[in-house]
Amino acid sequence: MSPFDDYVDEMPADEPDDVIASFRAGVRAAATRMPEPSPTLAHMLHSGVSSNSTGSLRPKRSITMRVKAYVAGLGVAAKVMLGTGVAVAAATATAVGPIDIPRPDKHQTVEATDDGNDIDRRDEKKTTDDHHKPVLVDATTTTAKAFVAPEPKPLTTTTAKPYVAPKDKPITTTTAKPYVEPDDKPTTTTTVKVPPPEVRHDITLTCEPNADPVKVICWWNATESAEHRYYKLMRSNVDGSDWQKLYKTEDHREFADTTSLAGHSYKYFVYSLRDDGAVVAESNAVVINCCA
Amino acid sequence: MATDPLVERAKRGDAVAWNELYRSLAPAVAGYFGLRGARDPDDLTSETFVAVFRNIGTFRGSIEAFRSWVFVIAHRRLIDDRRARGRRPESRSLADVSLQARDDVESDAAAVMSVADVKALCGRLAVDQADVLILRILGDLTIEQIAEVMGKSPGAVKQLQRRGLDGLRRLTKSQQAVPL
Repeated sequence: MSPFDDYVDEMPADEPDDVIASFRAGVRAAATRMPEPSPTLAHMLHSGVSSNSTGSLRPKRSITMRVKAYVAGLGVAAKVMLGTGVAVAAATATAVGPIDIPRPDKHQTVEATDDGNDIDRRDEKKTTDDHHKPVLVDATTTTAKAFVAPEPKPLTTTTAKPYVAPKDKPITTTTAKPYVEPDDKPTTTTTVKVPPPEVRHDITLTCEPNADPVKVICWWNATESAEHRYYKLMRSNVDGSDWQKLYKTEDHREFADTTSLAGHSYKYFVYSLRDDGAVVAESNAVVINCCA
Repeated sequence: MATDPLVERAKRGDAVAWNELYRSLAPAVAGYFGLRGARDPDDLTSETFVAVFRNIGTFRGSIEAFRSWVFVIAHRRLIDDRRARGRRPESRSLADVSLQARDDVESDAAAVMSVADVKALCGRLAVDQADVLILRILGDLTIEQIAEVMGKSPGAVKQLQRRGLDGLRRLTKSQQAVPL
C-alpha cells in the first residue's frame, strides 16, 4: 500500500507511477540502518530509565544558597540573635587567639553546617524556642573560626607540571559499554569516571583525486592507540564548514569518496575513537581539489 | 484515550519495551534526518530519543500517536539543526550526483532510486514539500499527523504533498540522471 493512497485521487491518471515508486523505494532504502545510539541513550536503553527518574537531574542547591534561604526564613528576632551570636563568636575567637583552621580536605565547616542546620527541615522547627537553640550558634561559630586569617607565609612560585602517569599504578581505562540487547534480568550500572584520552597524532592520511570516474580515494595507517575502537573519515569544505561523516569502520583503512564533485575543494580528516566516542587519535588534514 | 501497552511498559521503565520502540522507530528517524540533510543523523536520532525518554511521562495515546509524537520531536530537532547551520538543506543538481557509495544504505535494485539521488531530488524541492513526502513515506504518517508535526493545517499539508509529487515527476522527466 502506498503511503499516498489516501490521496490517490490527486495523482494524474495518465502519468506512470514509476517515478514515485522508485523514489519511495529509495527513501525506504535510506531507513534500513540502525543508528548508533549515543552513550547517554545507550545507557537509557540499557537501564530503561523513565521520565520519573529524571527528577534527580535537578542540580543540588549549594550550601551558600541553603544558608541564605535559611536566614531568609528566620524572623527579625532570630536575625538579631544571629548577629549577636556572630559578634560573640568573633570576640571569643579574638580573645582565645589563633585557631587552627581546618584543612580544606576535611570540610569541617560544611559538615558542621549540614549537621547542625538541617535546612530542609526548617519549616518543622519554626517555633520561637527553636530560634534560640544552640544549633544555630554552632553553625555561626564554625563560620567565625574559618574566617581567622592565617599567619603570613612567604610567597612561593610553583610551576604546573605536565601530567605523568605513575609508574607503580598504571592507569586503567574503563570504557563505556556498547549498546547490547538487554535480557530480562535487572542490571546494575556502576558509574565509572573515564579519564579523557590522550589524543595521538599518529595517523597519516593520504588522499588522491580521480578524474574518471570522479572520486577521491583516501587511505591511512593504523593508529597505535590501545583504546582504538573505530575510525571516522570526515570531510568538510576547505573553510571548515559543512562537516560530513563519510565512513565509519573498525579496521578498514581506505575509502573511495564518490560523493565529491568536480571543481570543488575538500578537506579530509580521519579520527580514531574509542567505545564512548572520545577521540583517541587524529590524522593530518588533506585538502583535495576535485578532480583533475 | 488509553495508552498503548508497549508505551505504557516503557513509561514504567521497562528496558525491553524501550528497545522494542527504539528498534522499530530509530531507522526511520535516522533516515529522515539523513535525507533531509542533517549534519549528523545518528546524533540527532539519539537526541530525539533522549527527549522521548525524558518526556514520555506526558504522552497519552496509541502506538500510531506515539510514532507521530516521536516525529514531532525529530522534526523540531531538524529545524534546530537547520537553524544552527544557518542555511537550508543541501541542494545539488542531479547531473552532479553520481551513484554514491554509502555502503550501509545503498541498494542494488534497479528500480530503487539511489539514496544520493533521493537526497538530490529532495534538495531541489521546496523544503516543506520534501519534508511532507519523507514523513509520509518514512514515518507512515497520515496527512493529519504530518500537519501536527509541521504545525500546519491538513489542507496545507495536502497541497504540499501534491506539489511535491508533481515536482518529483517534473524533475525526473527533465533530467535523466536518475536510473529508473
